[in-house]
Amino acid sequence: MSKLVRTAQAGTMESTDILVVLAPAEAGAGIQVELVSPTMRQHGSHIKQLIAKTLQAAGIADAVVHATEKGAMDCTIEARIKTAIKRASNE
Amino acid sequence: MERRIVRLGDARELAEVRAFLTEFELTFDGEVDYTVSFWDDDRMVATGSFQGKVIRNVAIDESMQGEGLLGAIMTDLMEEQGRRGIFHRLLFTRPKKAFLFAALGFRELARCEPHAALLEQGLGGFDAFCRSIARQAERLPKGQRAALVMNCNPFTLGHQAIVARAAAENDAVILFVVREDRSLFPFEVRLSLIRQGVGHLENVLVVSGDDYIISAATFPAYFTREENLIATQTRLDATLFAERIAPALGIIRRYVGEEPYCPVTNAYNDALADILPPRGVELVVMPRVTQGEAAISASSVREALRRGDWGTVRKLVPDTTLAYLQSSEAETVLKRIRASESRH
Repeated sequence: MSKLVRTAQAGTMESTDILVVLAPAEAGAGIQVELVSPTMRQHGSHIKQLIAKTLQAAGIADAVVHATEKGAMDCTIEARIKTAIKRASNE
Repeated sequence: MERRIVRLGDARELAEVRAFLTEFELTFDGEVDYTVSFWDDDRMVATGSFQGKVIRNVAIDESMQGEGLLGAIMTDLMEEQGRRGIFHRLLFTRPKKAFLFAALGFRELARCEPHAALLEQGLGGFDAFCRSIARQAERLPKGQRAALVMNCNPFTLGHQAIVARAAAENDAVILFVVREDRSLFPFEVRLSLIRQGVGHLENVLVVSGDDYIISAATFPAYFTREENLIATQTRLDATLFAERIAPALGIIRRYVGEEPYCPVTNAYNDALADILPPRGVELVVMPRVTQGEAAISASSVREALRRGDWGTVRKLVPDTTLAYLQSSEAETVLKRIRASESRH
């Protein structure tokens, strides 16, 4: 179980990567994902779900995420989110 | 490719960046928090800087464009900003280059052809700014809504008269206070004196203009060559207000004070007159309130404070401002005023 205590960032702006900024949110706020992606229409909802699922798997129910995606694979997205969680929590 | 963090205290390294940027018609005053450069065989091929949340001076040698260097520079700058706790970025570029940054997830807020476009990226930002003001504005009476933008360094009887007139002529007024701390009176003090000075006007809401009204973001002083500078700054700011802020908050009219003294404020009023009406926002220019022969201005208050002329100060400011000026809280500010020659 992770608890977010600060805002943190992971990833890059380069091709096939994703840059995520992860911030704590008030209890009950849920997970709000703001996504910028060149393939928003095809993959937007899939990427958002993947981000939310990765956070939930770490025990996080409330968070604000801003993600800029540039053709990243699912494993990359998961890895970036996990890194952001580590940086945003006291692990 | 080699990446180097520019040592901002080193005159030779600054000169290298400056020389490189000259080719792109970008000036470099060294007043930045961080600069990175990329080198290929001892030749600088790309650079970028930021000052606080504002990313600027991003340039890539033409022969190296399309090599993914832009992504590398932006990543470097944004990682460093993140380390410093900055997760919302603003960026200026030429309008014809804006699409490159849009591809990196930056969103364009306003442009002033052909000189400058303002973009942003990250947490919070413009929508959050508008949402927060819209929420506060729910308590205002419904109907015709006007706006004022004020620095109030400090709040005078002249300011009070302009706000009172706007409040009388409209159902509701949103008063934006310039957030940028480049004035002798700090933002928190200016805001508090304004809130006290208009407290009796129930249909007036006082909010911070944040990054979006007369800020380092909307007034990119470093950006263009001198002759276009003021026009670009003022037009970009006016465009953002007319095209984004006014529609988001239902503002149909903006009041400004006539400006007899300051050429920059005068240019700003000209830009507003040019840009607001065609975009559906009426501009009302109010003559200055006078006291004896002279127009009341914050600078005349500061001048009187510098001389210790309390008789004059008393005639120029409302009781609320006077009470603050005479309190012990004001000591540091008064000391700074006495030591300063600045107009602002």
